[in-house]
Amino acid sequence: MKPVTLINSGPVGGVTACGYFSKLLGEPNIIGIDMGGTSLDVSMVTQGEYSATLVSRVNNHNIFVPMVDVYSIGAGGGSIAWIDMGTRLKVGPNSAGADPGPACYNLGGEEPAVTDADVVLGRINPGYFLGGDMPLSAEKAAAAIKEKIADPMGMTVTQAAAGICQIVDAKMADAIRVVTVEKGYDPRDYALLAFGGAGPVHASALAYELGIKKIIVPFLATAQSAFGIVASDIVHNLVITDVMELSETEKINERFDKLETDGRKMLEGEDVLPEHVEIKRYADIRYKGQAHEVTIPVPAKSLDAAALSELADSFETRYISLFGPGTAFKEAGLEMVSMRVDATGKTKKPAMPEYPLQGKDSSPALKGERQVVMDYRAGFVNVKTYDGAKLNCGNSFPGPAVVEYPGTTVVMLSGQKSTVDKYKNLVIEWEG
Amino acid sequence: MIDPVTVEIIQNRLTQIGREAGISMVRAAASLIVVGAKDFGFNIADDEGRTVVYSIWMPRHGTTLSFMLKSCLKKFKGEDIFPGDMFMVNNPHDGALHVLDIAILSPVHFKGKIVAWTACATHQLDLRAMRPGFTPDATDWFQEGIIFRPIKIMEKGKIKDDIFNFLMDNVRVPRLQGLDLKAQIAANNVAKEKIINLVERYGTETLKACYDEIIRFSEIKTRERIREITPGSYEAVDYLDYDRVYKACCTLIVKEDTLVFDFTGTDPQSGTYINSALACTIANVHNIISCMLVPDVTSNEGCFRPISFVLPEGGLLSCKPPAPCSGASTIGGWKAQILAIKVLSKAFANSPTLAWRANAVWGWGWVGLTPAGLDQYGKPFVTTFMSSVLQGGGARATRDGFDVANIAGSTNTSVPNVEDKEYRYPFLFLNRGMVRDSGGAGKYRGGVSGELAIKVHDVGSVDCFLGYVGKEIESDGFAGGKGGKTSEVSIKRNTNVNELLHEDIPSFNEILGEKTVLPQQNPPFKMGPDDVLYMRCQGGGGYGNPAEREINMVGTDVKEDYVSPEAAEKYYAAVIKPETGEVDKDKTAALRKHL
Repeated sequence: MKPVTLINSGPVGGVTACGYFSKLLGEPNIIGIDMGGTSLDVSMVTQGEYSATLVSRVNNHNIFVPMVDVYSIGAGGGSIAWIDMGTRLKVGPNSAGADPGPACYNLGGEEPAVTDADVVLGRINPGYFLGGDMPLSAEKAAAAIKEKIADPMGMTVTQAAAGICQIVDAKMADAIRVVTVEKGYDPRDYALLAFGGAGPVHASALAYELGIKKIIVPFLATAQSAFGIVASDIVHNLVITDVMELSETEKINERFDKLETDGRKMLEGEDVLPEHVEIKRYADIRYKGQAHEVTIPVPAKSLDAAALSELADSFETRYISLFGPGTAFKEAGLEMVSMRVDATGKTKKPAMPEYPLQGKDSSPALKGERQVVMDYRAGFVNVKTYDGAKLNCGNSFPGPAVVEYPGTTVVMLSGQKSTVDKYKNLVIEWEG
Repeated sequence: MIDPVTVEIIQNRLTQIGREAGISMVRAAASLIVVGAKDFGFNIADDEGRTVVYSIWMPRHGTTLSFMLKSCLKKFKGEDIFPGDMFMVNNPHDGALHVLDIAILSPVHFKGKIVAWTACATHQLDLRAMRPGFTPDATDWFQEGIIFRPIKIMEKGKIKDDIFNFLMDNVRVPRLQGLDLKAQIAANNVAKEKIINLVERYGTETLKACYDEIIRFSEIKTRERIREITPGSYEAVDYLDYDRVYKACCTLIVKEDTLVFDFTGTDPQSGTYINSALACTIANVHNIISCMLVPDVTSNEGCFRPISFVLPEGGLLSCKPPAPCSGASTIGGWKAQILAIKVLSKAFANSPTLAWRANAVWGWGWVGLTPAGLDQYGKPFVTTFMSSVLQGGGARATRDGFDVANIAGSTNTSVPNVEDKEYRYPFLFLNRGMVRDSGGAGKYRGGVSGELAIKVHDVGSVDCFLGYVGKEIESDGFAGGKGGKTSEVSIKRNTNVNELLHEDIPSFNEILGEKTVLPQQNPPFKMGPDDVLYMRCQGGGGYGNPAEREINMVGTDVKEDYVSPEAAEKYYAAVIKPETGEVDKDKTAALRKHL
């Protein structure tokens, strides 16, 4: 084991969880959001595969080891709202953290934070935070927003709280666009996997911003990171970097074969049975002279001239989809910079317990009703609340609704429908 | 009036789009100027051409892109501009920093109407001038490369092959330059698509209302900040050495919530490439404004509305055709930055709430070496040593200057890595490092500069074109601080370097051979396989009396080799114990007492 490969292993657990749920639920494309008190970690699985970054930066050192891509922004439940020059509402980058935390924690925090806004809007039940272990002060939340935001800006407390949530939702949507659109993917083709204490509170609004149709709130919402690591396969990323022409057929085949043999040997040494080994090949290709490459999948077989010419075509197609019309430049010529093989040893996953389906009726889990702001532009509406722990597989109910779990709260907008799947995950979709 | 929440969301989104466009640019480009140094800018402007997102990459490109867009809108009217068009400009008198900076401007149409413009500028390696790239010995602008007034490079979504090929047929390294140009098109494409998504979501009317509000807000914040400056008039003079020494002057007039930068008294335009045209000068001053006065305000057209200029035509910093000006970006333009730093620092030092923002002068000793010839792969090459942006930062009122910082207003750029350079071009670096004692002494020390020594590798010889400044004139200190060390380019010919390389990599000093210091305006020369070239940039100026520098800070500087024991004693009145290399506190206190 090389110590360098452990860097960032915490947040990465969330990513492998995305991969796990992707396979479990048959969702090829998943964006995972892990929203805690101070940050939002965004990760992605596309066609069942993690998006990896080849160079990361830690403490000002570039690390040339493939790592799972996790993008982190400073927006969480603790992000503080403030007013710039008396007229412009801003959220973050300062955070109240966990101590003193948002004003509603009643630990001495006086600045209004995103969680305060969620409490004011009725989305978080102050009496059921952490399953009731940590009562929140709705009065403190409202007072902080009134004094610091609403009064100076001439808004009502509700308007101010709605403004805070809208800004933070849009900021988080921007962050998600960074990891998707920038890589040439469209967030509308993804499902959103929401975990972390604050993730499910904001997931519906985020999905709306991004045009995402389906949200999954895993039953084990808050323990996701740890769960993910247990569920990981053994993956070896093997690479040879040596700039080559795409015409060097023999050399290319020889090297891919060597990487594959090496990968299989490493897995064998880790007691992975040959039938559990999966091999994937990639080539990093660029126009001659460029400094960045585009990674293209390569069939795991011997390549002939025709196959390499197909590879060149898929590079160009991918290039134009990334950079738009007028950007391809055949005359520059192509070169292959790196050859990569991912050798995966499939491990036995912890079996996710399956529960029998018990019909659509969700009324046994109904807790009651309360006033919640769902649409930011409308005011408070009467909304049903459910006890997440009492929901059974197969239950189905429409939004607007709030589902309270011990570790998190799920906000469902009107027009959405929730279904509890056989693993007790809450799957939220827009109707129609 | 538009609601503040929507404005905030749209402003964040537009800024993010500018950033994403720049990342696409780096990923698609080829030359180290873009990929390594990130010498480019990306703007987003509204339908009328007002800049809403000012280059978050190299800031000064923001102003020049704004000038170029305005001149494009003058030349092309609505009915001549189709969806999918892009325009190309590089004329310094239409706003480019210098002829080598090509801008690609793109309208963003929604339902047939223009709703925004995007714009991207970067430095092209060559434009068929008398010399590859820069023209250190040009005597007029006809020798400095092809000029494009605004011209279409894309029409209705298709690249205009005649124009693109014309350019490729006329430049020295078409493969890299074609990729760089297409990377600019890519950046515009990427931003355009995202802006259209934004309009689809919020509607044209909302977007336009946000433009107004975003610009208005930055203007108010800037005016508010200017009111913190004590009104008055603040003067500065600085000098520039090239074929001769030139004088440049600036007076800053602070009145209520406005600033006037008056360059009257500056020498007339030069017959050499060091001149700066109007837009380049203004862009460089704007750059300093955004870094020093309003770094906490979203930069856009609003920040610059309270600021005006007096720049008499035909001056060194406001040249007119046919004066050459291809060195403007790094020589004349940088000098305008230096003057802006000087007058603003004087004004800040005189204003209680802003005094902490005052700076000594940053190193401005641009060393421009452009080698060209055949590379180790047998192909023609042209490259610039962007490594020469290793200037020391000016010391600040509360802190030391940044070491090896680049010029003050070329923020967000970086120095390309040595291995990339060696892999692509026929050179071997003997060293690249920091220069001891180059930072101006002061209570806060100026940043040290960088130096490098190179030799030709794997080829017989290469042609070199060199121009540099700051060899005779240092970067000034502030409030009693000393100036930074000057720049230098020297060569040792027919040395024993290749012999020494069998053992280890020698330093420039260890190599046998007679050292010749080259003049700033140097005729073209060849570098052979046994020649070694040395380049050093300028250190930053110091801030405050060096004898007041904390003893521990002097001790650390000596220990870490930023300052020699001799300089510690001479400038900082600190005595170093020869046996341990530590500061002798008693002797130092005694020595300082006498001052």
